[in-house]
Amino acid sequence: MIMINIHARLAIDFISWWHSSMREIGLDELPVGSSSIIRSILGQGRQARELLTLGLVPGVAVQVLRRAFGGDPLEVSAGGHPLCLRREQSRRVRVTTVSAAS
Amino acid sequence: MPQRPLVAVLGAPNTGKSTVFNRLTGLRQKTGNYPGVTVERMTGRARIGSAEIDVVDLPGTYSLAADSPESSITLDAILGAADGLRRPDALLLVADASNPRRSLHLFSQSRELGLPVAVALNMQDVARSKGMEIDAAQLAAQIGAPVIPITANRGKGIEKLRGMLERLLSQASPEPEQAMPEVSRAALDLAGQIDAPGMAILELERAIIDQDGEFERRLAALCGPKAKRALERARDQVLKSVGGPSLQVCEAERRYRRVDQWLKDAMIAGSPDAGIRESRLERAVNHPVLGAVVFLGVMGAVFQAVFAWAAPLMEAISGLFETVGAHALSILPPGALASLLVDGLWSGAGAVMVFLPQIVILFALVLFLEDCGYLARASFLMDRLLRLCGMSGQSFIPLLSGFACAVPAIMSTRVIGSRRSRLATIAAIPLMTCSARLPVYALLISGFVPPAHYLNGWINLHGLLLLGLYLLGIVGGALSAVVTRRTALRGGSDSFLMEMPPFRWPNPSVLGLKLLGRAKVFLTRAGTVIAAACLMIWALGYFPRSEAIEQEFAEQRAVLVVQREEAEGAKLALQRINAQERAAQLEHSFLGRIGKFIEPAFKPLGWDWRVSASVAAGFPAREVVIGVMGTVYALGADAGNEAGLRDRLQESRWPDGRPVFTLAMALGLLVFYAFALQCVSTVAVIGRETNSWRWAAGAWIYMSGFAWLAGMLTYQLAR
Repeated sequence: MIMINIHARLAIDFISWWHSSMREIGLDELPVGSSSIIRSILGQGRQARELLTLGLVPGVAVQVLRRAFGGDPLEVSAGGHPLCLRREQSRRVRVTTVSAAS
Repeated sequence: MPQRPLVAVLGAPNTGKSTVFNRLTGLRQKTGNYPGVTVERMTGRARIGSAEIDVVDLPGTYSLAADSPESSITLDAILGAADGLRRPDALLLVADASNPRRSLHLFSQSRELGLPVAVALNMQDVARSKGMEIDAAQLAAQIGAPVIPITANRGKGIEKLRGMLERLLSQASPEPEQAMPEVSRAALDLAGQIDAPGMAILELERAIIDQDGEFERRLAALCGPKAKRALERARDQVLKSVGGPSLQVCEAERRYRRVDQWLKDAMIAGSPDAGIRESRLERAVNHPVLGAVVFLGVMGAVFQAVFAWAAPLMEAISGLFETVGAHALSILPPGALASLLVDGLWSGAGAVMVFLPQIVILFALVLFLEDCGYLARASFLMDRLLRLCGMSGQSFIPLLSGFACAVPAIMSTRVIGSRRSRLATIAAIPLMTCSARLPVYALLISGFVPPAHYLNGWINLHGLLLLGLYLLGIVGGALSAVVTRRTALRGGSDSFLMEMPPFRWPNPSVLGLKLLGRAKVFLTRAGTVIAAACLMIWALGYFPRSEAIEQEFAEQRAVLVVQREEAEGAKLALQRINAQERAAQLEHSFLGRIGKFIEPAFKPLGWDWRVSASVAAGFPAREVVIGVMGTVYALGADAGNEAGLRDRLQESRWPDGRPVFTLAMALGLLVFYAFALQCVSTVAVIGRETNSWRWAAGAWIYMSGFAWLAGMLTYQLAR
């Protein structure tokens, strides 16, 4: 019974991952100038918390304003306020591929 | 007598929190540190209505999730758990009206702490220029706390703020509304299961929410692994009941959703995410190519200004100290006391003051660029490059300050979010060419490098060499950071996350206060140590006195008097004899003996005992070396005269008649100077800022060792 339960959970997890992966990309993949909505923040602990604290929270509109020379770091606007972060960190910020009305 | 009420000011960085604090308290404030951590604590007293209150300026923090020392101190202080600070009676939250969401998120956390909270909605002017307006009364009704619109920069709304604080203190604290009631229940349960003395329920709540956070660490340290397992169980249980990927995401989502509800009704113009409207200037500065040109231009202008403006002031100050000192020597009775007062104390004070113009000018420019928002752009541009060396974009401002004085520069590394980047930056800063290295550079370059001009006199070799020494310091600093990251701080990842402030004109009085603070840090932290070092070096160079030498020169003087040469010549001869006596006494003194003792160690660099003694004297404070050289080489009344010293150095010979100061030796000495950590105050501030004497000792040892090696190689190769 327990085994079945675990399998069911795994399957559901997999499906929901598959489902979301179809529509989510990292913020680093968003072209300069385009906007989107944050879906989720990957990871646990401190590194995710830093992003949340500065307002990179699911549901918030983001826009990539520019990239520094070499594409890293990025300057983005989250909820209308500019902040900069490294590409590595921006990968944790998952956004929808559908561009939000800007 | 009842205690004065205490109001704690909290807010995110860049919201003008310190300006509000300054406006409330005026000059009645004290700066200190929270014990055990390098977070500054500002306390002051303010008058509100007819009463006096104490005000504490808490460190800037975006959230009460304890990730940085700043945020855990903030929560500790609010809960009354910070050493030496009682629990405040009310909180004043300084919010940025042009960036209300982030500030109200912090409000949403802080109103759950059981204290009355008031909101000062600051930066009304910036908000207005962005076309945003918040109805303060409407917002107050929404959030259930008083809201006062202010523009602290211009002092607008401060009187209303005082009135509001008076009313706030007479109110009972409201029942806190919880964003995460599940967590509060779990924290109460957890408190029943484990015995965690000294941890408040609110801290347990943070421990549950903030995975791998400061309070989880504290709980584990306090109560062991069993408590940690109980904590993890509690966290899992709550997560199951609320759903979602993690509690911290859930908390942020709930709070921001609430903030958006509040703002929906309270914002009467604009929207909280109004988008970014950039001015033409901002677009130019942010342009990939034009931005780099602007950056180089700004940096070039800063250094040019420092040199051009500081030089006459420095000359005036050192001239003043010399004239007064020489005058004092002529009226004081000769002996140990006069020497102590003039050569020890007075010239020690002079050695400190002479750097003040350069330091003040550079810091004024750095603070101006920082406050108008440009240095954040520079940090953005420089992050990639600095990351190669294990630092981050936030290291840029401290590194730039290092060209003035390493002590305030190292203190300003506190803004760097990642601990590893911060330590690497601290390792790099002492190698930046600080103002104290310049006199030595100037003396050696002008004395031993042949002048040469290229390109019709546009470029001269001396300037080129000075530039080279600056670059050497920068490269050395970069290497130092890399080595630190590869050895003592291996592994780990760091982050670079920074708000981009909008361009704005800095407020002159705020700028002035900050500049005053930096100058004070230099004078108290560095200056006192430099002066003490000068005094110590004076004592080492003065004692013990040799009677035999005194006798010998007294006889020479007697001969001179007997000969009765014509007055002018006699005076010169007397001066020469006095200078030679001082040199002979110095050779006999502790310092002279130290120089002779360490001479073999510095032979490979081409130094004789005189140079070795001077450099050894420079270890507590590198700038004393010129003064000591003046004495060692028997420079007379014109001790401050650079040309005089230069001639003496050129005449200096080894016992076999070879000149000591050759081009190769001077180059080696320059390189040694570029790398050596000859500054006790820097060592002390490294110890304090890293909270570890091992770091300070390590930095001193490896930098001195590296300086020796590099100096030796330069000398041997150039010979």
